[in-house]
Amino acid sequence: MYKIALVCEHGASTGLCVRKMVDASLELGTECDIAAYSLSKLENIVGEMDCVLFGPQISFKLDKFKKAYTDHAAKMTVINSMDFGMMNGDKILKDAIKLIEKNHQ
Amino acid sequence: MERLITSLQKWLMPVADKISNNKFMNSLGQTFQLLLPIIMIGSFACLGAFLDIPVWQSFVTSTGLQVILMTIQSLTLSIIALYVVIVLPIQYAGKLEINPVSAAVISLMAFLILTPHDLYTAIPTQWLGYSGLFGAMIVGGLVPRFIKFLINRKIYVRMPKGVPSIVEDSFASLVPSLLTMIIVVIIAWIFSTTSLGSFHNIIYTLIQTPMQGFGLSLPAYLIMQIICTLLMFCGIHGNTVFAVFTPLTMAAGAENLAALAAGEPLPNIITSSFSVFCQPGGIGCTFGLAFLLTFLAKSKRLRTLGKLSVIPAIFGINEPMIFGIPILLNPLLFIPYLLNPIICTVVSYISIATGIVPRLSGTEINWTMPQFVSGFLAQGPQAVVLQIVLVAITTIIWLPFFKIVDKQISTEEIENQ
Repeated sequence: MYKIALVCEHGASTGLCVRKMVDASLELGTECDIAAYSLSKLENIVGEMDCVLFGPQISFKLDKFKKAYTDHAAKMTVINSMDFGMMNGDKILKDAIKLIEKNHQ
Repeated sequence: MERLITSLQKWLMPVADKISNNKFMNSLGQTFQLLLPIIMIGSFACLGAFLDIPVWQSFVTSTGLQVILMTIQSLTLSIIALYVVIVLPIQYAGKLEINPVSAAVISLMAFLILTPHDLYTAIPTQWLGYSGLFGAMIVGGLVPRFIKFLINRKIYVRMPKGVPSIVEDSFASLVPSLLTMIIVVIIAWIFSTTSLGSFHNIIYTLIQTPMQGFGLSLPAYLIMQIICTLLMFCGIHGNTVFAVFTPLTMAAGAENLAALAAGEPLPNIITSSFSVFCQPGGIGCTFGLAFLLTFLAKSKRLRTLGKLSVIPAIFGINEPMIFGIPILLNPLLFIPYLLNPIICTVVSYISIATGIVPRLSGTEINWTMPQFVSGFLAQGPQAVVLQIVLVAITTIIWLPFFKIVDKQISTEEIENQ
């Protein structure tokens, strides 16, 4: 099972996205645990995640987080802003799975 | 336009990053977030106790509910500084990597020593509420720094090997406690000899009041709204900038509530709930835009986006539109996006200043409170009318720009088919 976290300032707008991604995962048949978190929770959850997706609004913090959690840097990425805006859960999920599988190799 | 955006990113990003990385500002923001439930409970209890509707007043006084509500307010919002001086050091100490609980205990002690009181019997709540807020922030910021300083200089009691760590810990915080105690006793004594009488009164008169006078003025507040709007335009969440203003606007809200409880005229136009007017539907005032997309868009993509955006818009979330249209870095949409918050802020300020809309009671409104409900809770029906007017104005401003973008995108869609 893949554990995927979506992170933004309050976990609100990414929360919208989570529902779309859960629907997409059911369709794909891939077992995933997807949830949205606020930024302040990041340090508690980063260790147990397979993939951490940041909302595009906090993309400028990505480098900082990659430096702060060097062990987990490879699983961090920013959601493509157009996909995020259109709430394209399917595409975001597939990108996330691609990243996870790349990291597992 | 391109150059404007690049320079915005070049200048604003480092500033936003600096503020959001600052350990103290960060802790302060978290402190108010953690205390929001307490503040909301207190402010609604106050509103419940003193709401100026005759039927309600006779109901709460005859049932004794008023006393219960006043008790709740009195022990939450009215002593908020006491909560801050405990929670802030815990947050800050965590970031400085020192023991959070002992930092909180020492901060609380320092704060209480600096507060005028009656020996053995009572601590008046005068400085435990919003008047003592800056005092609490200063103590809660300086004490953990001081402890960290002592540890860095290796000034603490060392225990021989084999002493249990709990014993060692209690001795470790002994030196900082003792030194803090001595310093604050001296400060309290020096300040008590001045004409202002106490540490709290000095902070309140010389720092809090002037800062509020500046921060709660229309120009300063407007600049803050503009900065938040610009940051979001570059794709950066502007909350951290807002956090700088939170102590000021929160204290202003508490001041209004205190005046309401005392039956006096409300002192402040801008309180934290003033923000319910400034950005209806999210940064850029996109409430009406969501409906324009849903019902008037010729482009399929925009129509889908609109349906997706309407419900979040009611709760002030507009990331789908920001990233989906996108408004982000779109020179054309920059105009209504920046103009709208300015108009909303100025119109709201003038409406309240001239008395068309009564001053806000000072209740704390959560930012996700639905549009119109938020206005009702912040003040009442007049505020809802103002919100409706603001939504109408911003929708009209969005309309021509929406039409241009819709035409562009729908033509592209037809060409691609």
